Amino acid sequence: MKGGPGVALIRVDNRLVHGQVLEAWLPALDAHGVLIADDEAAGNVLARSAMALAIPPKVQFQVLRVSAAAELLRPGGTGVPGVRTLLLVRDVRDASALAEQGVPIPRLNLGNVHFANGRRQVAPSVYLDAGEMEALSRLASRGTEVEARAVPSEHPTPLSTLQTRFASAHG
Amino acid sequence: MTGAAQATRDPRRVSPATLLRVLWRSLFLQAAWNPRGMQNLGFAYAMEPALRDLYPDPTARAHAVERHLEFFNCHPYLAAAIVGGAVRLEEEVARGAAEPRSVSAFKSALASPFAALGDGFFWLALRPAAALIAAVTEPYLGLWCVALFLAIYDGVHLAVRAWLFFAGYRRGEGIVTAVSHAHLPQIIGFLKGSAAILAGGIAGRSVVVAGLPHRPWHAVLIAVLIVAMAALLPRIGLTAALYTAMALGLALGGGFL
Repeated sequence: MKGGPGVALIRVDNRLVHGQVLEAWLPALDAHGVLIADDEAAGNVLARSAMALAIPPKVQFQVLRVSAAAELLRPGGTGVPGVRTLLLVRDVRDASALAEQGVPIPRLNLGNVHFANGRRQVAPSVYLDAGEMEALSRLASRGTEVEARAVPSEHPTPLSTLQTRFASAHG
Repeated sequence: MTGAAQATRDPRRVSPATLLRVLWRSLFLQAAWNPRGMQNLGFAYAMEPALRDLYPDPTARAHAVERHLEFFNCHPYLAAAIVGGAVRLEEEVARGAAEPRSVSAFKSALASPFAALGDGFFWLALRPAAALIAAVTEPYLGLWCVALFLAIYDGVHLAVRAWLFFAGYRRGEGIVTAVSHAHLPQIIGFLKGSAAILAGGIAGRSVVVAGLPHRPWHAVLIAVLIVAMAALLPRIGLTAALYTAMALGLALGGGFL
């Protein structure tokens, strides 16, 4: 999965910065930067300083509001600075907000989305509600390849399987 | 507790005995792990003695317990800092000096980054280093080297857990600064480097042992294996490397090679 600078992957992860991201995804993607597009983290000094503590010294790290990240990443924007970067968002809603603001999303990885009321389990670490399933279908119809997997060594589960599981899961 | 002590104690502070009970209970953080809330039950169980001190009114206490039943997932050791900090914040909430929401915000801001720190320090640095130190002493200690491993690993781990808990309680949100002054990345680098040197030492020794008393070809075989592993391991990933090493160790130990 080697490649030049730019966004290596967009990942939906409730936990944002954690072990799976730092120890598994960055090496597998050959990425040396983490960009977090999240309104809550961007406005929370404590969250930002705790994340900065966990990020290895050689990894570039930035937290932006979703709209600011979209500004940067849409065609004609300045792009991510310098290094190959993993883009993290907290939930599906933020990923579709990026897409609606013109950010190209060739592939969307669903890592960890934990349980909440209305959400059903579609992968070992992914629970989604009906609105999120619909948003993912919309992204897929615009050419995004949606997959669920926690770490790179797992087999990716495609959207069609997630839809089947959602339909057959109890509410 | 006597009536006089009860009367003089500030009801919006948790007593030292209660703090110790919370620390003890935090050791069982993962005992009721579940896929929906992960460590939420363990967290609420750890907090319960403190909440009992702070909220004499059952309704208020039920609300407080409820906010600790929300999703929580962290490294089980580093979580001690968050449990300690949550006790401090609950004191402030009970006193009316902070919003109940601030407790949840504190927990969710720190849980994942601290999980990453814990993974890096304990799982990927301290545990292999402690295991390799113990393995080096095997010729002198025999099976007691297992006890040495447990003494090193648990000595450090329990001390760190207690330090994190009390630092979290004393400093609340300041725990992030306290942890940043602990120089974890440098210690992790040092431990990983030491572990690599020890692993090399063990590999060298096993070549010598394999060549004794009169089986030089055995030593050559082992040396070739070690060189091959050194070349291949970085490419096959940590899990595959671990299983390969374990299989090789079993084969050697069982005398199949």
